[in-house]
Amino acid sequence: MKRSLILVVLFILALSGCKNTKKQETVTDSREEATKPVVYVSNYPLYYFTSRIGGDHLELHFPAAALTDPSGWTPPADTVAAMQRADLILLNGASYEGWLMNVSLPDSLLVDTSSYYSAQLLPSGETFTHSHGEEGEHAHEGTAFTTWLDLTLAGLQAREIKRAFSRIQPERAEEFESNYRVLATELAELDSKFRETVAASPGSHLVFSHPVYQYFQQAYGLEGQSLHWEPDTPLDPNMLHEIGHLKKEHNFHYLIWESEPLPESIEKLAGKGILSAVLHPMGGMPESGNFMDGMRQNLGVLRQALGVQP
Amino acid sequence: MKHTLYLAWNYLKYYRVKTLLLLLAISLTFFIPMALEQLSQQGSEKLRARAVATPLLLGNKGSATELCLNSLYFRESGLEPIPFRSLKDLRETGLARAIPLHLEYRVKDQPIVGTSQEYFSFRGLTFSGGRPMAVLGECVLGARAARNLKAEVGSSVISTPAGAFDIAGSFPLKMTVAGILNPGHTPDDDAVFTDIKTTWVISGKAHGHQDVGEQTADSLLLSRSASEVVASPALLSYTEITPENIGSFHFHGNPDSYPINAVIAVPGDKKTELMLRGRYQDHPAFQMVVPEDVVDELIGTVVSVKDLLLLAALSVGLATMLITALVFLLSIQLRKAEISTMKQIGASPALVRGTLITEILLILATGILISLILVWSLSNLGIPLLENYLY
Repeated sequence: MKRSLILVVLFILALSGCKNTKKQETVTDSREEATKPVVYVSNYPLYYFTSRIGGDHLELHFPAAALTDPSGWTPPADTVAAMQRADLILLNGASYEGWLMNVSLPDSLLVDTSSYYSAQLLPSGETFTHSHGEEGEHAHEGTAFTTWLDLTLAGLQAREIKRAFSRIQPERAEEFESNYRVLATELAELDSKFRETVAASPGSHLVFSHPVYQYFQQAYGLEGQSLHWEPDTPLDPNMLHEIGHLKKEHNFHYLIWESEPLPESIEKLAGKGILSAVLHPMGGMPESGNFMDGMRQNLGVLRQALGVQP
Repeated sequence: MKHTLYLAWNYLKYYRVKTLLLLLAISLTFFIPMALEQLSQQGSEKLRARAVATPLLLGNKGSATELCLNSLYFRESGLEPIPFRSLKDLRETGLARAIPLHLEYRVKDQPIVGTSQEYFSFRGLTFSGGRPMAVLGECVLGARAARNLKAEVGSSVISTPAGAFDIAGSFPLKMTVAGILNPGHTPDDDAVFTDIKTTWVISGKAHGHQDVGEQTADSLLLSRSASEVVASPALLSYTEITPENIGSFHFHGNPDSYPINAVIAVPGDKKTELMLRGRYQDHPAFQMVVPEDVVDELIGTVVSVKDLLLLAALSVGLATMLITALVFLLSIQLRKAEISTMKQIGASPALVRGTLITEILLILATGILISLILVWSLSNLGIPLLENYLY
């Protein structure tokens, strides 16, 4: 009887010992995981700035990486659930994240990187007209969101990212500051090259296939109109008629597309004396290179379109 | 001593009905005031615990008690709403975390609490299954709400329309249960939690509908031209948010003006709490209250009622004790012959007196012991059982 009692006590002690060991492992695991803050971003420029400033000290997620244009992304519930467990969610702001009103995320995690210059945000050029009951018809003008194409604003967004990182990892603040300064210098250098390029060709006129270059145009003083053409939509006679009128009015030579247009569109436009060039908005993950490479390529395209020698 | 105990015990055993009645009367006399004290003390502690855990509440000017009772215990809400902007203003002060509460709607008898993710961590709520709500139209059920609604993770619950005469808004929304909470024996167990934006969908501030430009049958359109489509009022708004139609949901108007009923403010420390209270002290439209103070005042009123009840119980107890004393005196009178027999067979007057006193002490001690056991059972078994039933 005594022996069996001792055995039972030993068995219970062994069990409780196992339980404690398991608990300790979980704590260790979670501590190891906790050493790298988890950061989510909503577009490629933020992804690039984050990886440059945060380096290897962050677990970086860009869930819309597979999309060419993440502005139309709708996060699935499981992705939102994962985002809820993040340490930071970096947003472009300027109405870029249209999905934000449809998800449940803690406000304490959200960082609107364009909030610092919210007073400088530009209208998208698109108006939405509708009515509510007897209130009568009224219109809302959308906000343009490709803020990063103005490299000065991109630098300010990078600064907000650096501040957010320094807040969650104050012990690495100096490293983040130094990484940010290198990035900010590169952005400023490229920014001045864009300014010099446009300044070297005063009065030049361009036409853009889609209204996504508002900040780019404003920052570098580029004159031009925006159409509402999709690169993968074949040009119909009405579109050709429309651009014919623009050509007569402004005598421009280049139509700037946001991605490669259809070969027959290039051909039809060439027939009217209009050349096609692609100035990538850089919102999505590029197939090769990085943000700075893409913007340098854009600089080359702009030089070509404006007839400016490097 | 041994003999007196033997005689007293056998006497009580022989007159067991009388003994049982006396024991019942004495144990109830002690049990009722002690139980009353215990119940009111534990009730007050529960009430205070939730209030103490909620540092500050922001709401519309009006009754502070109503603001606290509605926001802490999710009573039927009659709170005048405040605009969502007020929560943003509070956040922008940088003095406190701000958690919104929208308390207008219900699923059957369970209150719908429109809030933010921070509410779960603030209250220390844990999940028995599933996860927090992630997108519009998802909800999280308290343990008792899940039981009452017979819902599980992945099933659906439908919000109850506000009333037959509420023509303007509040259409029933089918919500998917994303998670179920562990029981916490608080009003959270009864709630259906959802994101504040989902409660705005229920109120009609946001909705999704078919794309009138492409998919709508001509019978649902009043007119269609190349640039404009005018839909008939018969065009059905979605009553369920699915991955397929979530993209069509949109908000009308400025969300800053959308209604919330209260804001839980969680300041970093006592200093920021005082600064925050100072800012709202003379606010023309809003009030900031300390729930602990409001609930203490409420408990003060309840305690004075309890004191009256206690006084009544003590008076009844005293009367019972007097009647018990009378029963013992009458019993001695009736036992004159028995006492005389005891004396004749050689029992000393001390033995007789000792036997009678032992009988009384045995009854009193057993009665008190029974009442103590009852009070212990009530506080350790009865109240948790009651809580399980209530929450």
